[in-house]
Amino acid sequence: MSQDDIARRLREEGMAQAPPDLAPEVMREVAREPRRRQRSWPRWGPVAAWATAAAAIAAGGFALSQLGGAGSSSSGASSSAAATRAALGATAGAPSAAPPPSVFTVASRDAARILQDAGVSPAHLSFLAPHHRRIVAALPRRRAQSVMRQLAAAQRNPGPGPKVRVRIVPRR
Amino acid sequence: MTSAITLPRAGRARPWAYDLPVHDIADSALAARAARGDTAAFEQLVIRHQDRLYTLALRVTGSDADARDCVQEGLIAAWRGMPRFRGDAQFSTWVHRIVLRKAYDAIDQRRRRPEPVEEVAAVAPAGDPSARSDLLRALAGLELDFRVVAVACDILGMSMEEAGELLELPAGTVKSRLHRARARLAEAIGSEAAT
Repeated sequence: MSQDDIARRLREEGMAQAPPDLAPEVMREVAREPRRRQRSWPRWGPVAAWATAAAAIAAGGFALSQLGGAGSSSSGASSSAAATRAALGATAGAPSAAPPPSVFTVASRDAARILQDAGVSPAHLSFLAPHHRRIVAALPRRRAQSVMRQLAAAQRNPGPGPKVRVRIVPRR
Repeated sequence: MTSAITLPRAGRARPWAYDLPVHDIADSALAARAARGDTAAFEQLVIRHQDRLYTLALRVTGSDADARDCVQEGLIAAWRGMPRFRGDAQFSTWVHRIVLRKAYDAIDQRRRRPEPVEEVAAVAPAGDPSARSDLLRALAGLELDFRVVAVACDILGMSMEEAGELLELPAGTVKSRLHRARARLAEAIGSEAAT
């Protein structure tokens, strides 16, 4: 049998019909999927990308300024600082000049222990090396509160060795 | 496939294609609507391609049940992926590739978990011509690399370039594999006839 005969026979005999209930079943599954709309990214894509980059840089700058100026609290941070104070159980009469309680200066060893217990990966803990001196850790809100309590305690009773400044950012 | 439903208007923009009966609308226009969440447009694509997709999965896996699962999962995956479908490739090639990957996965799973003998014997469904065609039996026994090329080019009628795009192979490789697949099929049928 020639190659052409094989090709012809495959074309004639090979096609199969999908089961009649296949398409309705697929569409039932499709209907169960959550509704979605196309994003308007294509038109605004380049602008949005630049805006996202600019926002990220601004946020990074803000975070660094918060770290650097632990002694002065900006008005924007005051509400979150108040919330954090409440979470830590601080007294209402605490002096307003105190550094934001989401930033703690603790012994490097204590910080490593507390963050490791909180599930921060060892790779990130390398930032606790003495030459870095400061670290920002974004943690789930509930875990962040517990970590902040421990860091506050460690700050009150500082251990020996080099110190690091740890900022905890609670995230949703 | 030949239903003459006119798609409902959506939004302010109304491309010319929306005034045509569904069977006249190109895949790309339906895919663009489906990407915006239009299930009616996606349903038309499903109806349009289901036989070819089912044939691809059936001839590659050799199992009716697997073929059905592959097409169903593939089409649902395609629906989920519609917003990412940019139209660089044809919708047809894109969805065939998704179903083919599912078919490869099904074959892998079957290799890892051998089926009982009675299930293997019942693989060919009653209405499937492969139960009585010597050629399709020979095709089912062909190595996967050759089988899939024969299915794409000879059964589904794809060009070498289309099959190459589907299988992510150069057209030259598709051509040589197709030649060898046909030769092996001819040989298998000849030996079967001789016995």
